[in-house]
Amino acid sequence: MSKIIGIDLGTTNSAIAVMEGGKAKIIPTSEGRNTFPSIVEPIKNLVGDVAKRQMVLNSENTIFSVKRLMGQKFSGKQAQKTKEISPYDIEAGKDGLAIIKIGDKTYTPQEISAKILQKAKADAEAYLGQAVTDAVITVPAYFDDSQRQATKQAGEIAGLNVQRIVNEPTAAALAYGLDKGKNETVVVYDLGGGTFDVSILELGDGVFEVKSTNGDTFLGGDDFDHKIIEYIVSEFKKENGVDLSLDKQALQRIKDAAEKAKIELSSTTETEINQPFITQRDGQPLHLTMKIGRAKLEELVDDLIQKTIEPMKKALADAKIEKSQIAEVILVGGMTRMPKVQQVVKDFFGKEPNKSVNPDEAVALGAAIQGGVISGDVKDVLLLDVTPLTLGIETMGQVMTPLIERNTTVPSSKSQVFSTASDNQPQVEIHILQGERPMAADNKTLGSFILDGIPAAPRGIPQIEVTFDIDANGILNVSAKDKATGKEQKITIKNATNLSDEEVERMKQEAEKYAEDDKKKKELVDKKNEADTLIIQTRKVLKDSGDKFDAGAKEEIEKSLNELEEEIKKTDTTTEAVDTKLKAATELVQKHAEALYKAAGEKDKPTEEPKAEEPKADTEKAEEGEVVE
Amino acid sequence: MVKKIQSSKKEIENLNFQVNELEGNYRRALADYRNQERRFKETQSQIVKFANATLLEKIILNLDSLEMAQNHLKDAGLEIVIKQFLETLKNEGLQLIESDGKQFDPLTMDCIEVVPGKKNHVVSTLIKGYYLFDKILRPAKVKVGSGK
Repeated sequence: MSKIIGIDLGTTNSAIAVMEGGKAKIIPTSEGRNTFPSIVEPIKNLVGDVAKRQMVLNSENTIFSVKRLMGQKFSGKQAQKTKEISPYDIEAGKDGLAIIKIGDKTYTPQEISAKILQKAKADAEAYLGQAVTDAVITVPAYFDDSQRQATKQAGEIAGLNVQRIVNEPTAAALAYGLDKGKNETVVVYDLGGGTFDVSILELGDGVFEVKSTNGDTFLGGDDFDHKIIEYIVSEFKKENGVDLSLDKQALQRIKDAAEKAKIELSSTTETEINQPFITQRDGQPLHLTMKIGRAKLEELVDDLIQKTIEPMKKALADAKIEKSQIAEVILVGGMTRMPKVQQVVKDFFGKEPNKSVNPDEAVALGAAIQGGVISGDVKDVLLLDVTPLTLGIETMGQVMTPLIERNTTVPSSKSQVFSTASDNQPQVEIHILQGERPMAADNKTLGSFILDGIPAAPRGIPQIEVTFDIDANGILNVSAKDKATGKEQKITIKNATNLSDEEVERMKQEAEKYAEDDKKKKELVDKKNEADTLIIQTRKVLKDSGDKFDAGAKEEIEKSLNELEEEIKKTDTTTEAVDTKLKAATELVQKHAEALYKAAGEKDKPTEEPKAEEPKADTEKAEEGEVVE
Repeated sequence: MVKKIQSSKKEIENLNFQVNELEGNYRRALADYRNQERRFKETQSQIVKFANATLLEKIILNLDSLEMAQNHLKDAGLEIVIKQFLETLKNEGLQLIESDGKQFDPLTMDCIEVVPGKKNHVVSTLIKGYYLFDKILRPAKVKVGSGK
């Protein structure tokens, strides 16, 4: 069976996806983008970006938002409203259904949608390198039977067997992986380029039921852009007395800048619009430079965002559901990237919305998953697990050193060489940990074992290779091998990946919550380890070649090392305190070492490179190697 | 005895079914992998070639500004600076989309306004378009003649 593609046939933009290697993946268009405008010029057969670019020139022949006409009666409210705002002609056709008239030809909305689907098919075939005959297409949850039938026909005209028509919110829920056998109620908030939909779904045993749906078919990202453009034009007029809205060239530049500003303000709190030489006044050039803060943007579009609240209320009332019964709120549509939109949704439902899937792609991805279920792809392909949390071992200073990072696809294996923390250390303890926190004690212990019989050697010399290996069933094998003697110890831990969702969630949240504290703790430990290394190294030098230092210097260094040692032993010490003493000690050591070499140099006049840097270089080397406790 | 044979037969059937299913899965996974590998090779050469695209897209905005400044200032020095700048970008694969006076082509141009002039021909270019190698980095934004 060939691949079944999933198509999000949107009002303003469409997207295509397919299952590959057991995962849904967006198919890039021939233009190299993840979505394309649902715009069609049927005479020259232009679809997508190309059709959009000639829209101004050829407005009466360029059809956009055709989805609003699918299966609609010409006399109906929706068709009439669409006619009002569309430069192309809409008439009554067979059975009073709305059709589009271009020149002396008429097109049904199905035929126009088919052109969009044809592009989707062609792009998918180019990407997959094989013929595509089957598709799953999504429709809004409120589409009635005739609208669904029309969508199916569109697919057939495009040469696709429509395996299923799926509700957009259902597809989104699938993309968010909400079909895993739980019985719960979820809300899908979909604010796209031109339409807003909110749906309440009930999931149970892999079946999705749309309990209610509401929205506004004329509200979307384009309205947000207009508000920003209006604001920029009015501000410029206030400042310079020139109305840029009359200048198409200037307006085009503002339009591009406004969209960019809107996108930027989702991740930054302030953006600057810089359009030099935007226009002229009395032969003098005028420049548009303006700062827009996120707060200003939110103020400008507040009424648009508020418009989404009433539909949410209605949807809840229609579904006869309390806010407290909702298990999950998921976000779909590019506009939901805006922090203010997320805030309003959060405030309304009293719940942090889930935004883990790219909102522009969720519906197409879900359609592809549905296609995968039909073709057997999803059920059959071995779904490879990932490790939900990081796995590692405890190293010097009670630090957790990760070996297998979280979200690694298993089976997987990783080795790393460690060493000892003190001289003549006969054994090492391998303490296996799971979790995201940098300090060992804050993570979950999975097991531990001891590798002994390590031959006496200075710290840092023995090489102990620790290997983590997780098989496809989530069984973790940890082994430690002394490379010198070949002696090995190992442990097997079952269910290393098999944590309950709650447990994983709790551990991730804790890691986030304590991130700041943990960072400080880790810094302190790192600093202490650095100090410890310096103390040991320097004492060794003093012991081996202390006679080369004069007694005063030796005493001075000893004193500073003792102070440093005392500092790191204190229970209430801080990173700063250790750092100050460490710096002092390091400087002192360097100073005396330099003097030492200088003196030696004057005596022997060596020809080789100066070695004054050596003690420092040594310290650095020691820091690099990680050490097992 | 018959019962025993029957149950063995059934088991063989089951096992055969399982073997077929597993083999199917294996082939599917292998096919996905091969396709992925092929695509990876294809995209890899593309990535190397078009790695600069995002950066160039931003840089041509600065080029636009420089050219606008030059339109106003008409400074000989600045002219050289722009020329140098263009030369550098050209070496990276950037190429101007010729638009002025040409027939409108939505593949390479974006019509912003329709004005009196030769029908379907570009009357003036508002924002220059560029190719990056054989791909369109930015379509030219143009005014097109209405034929009146």
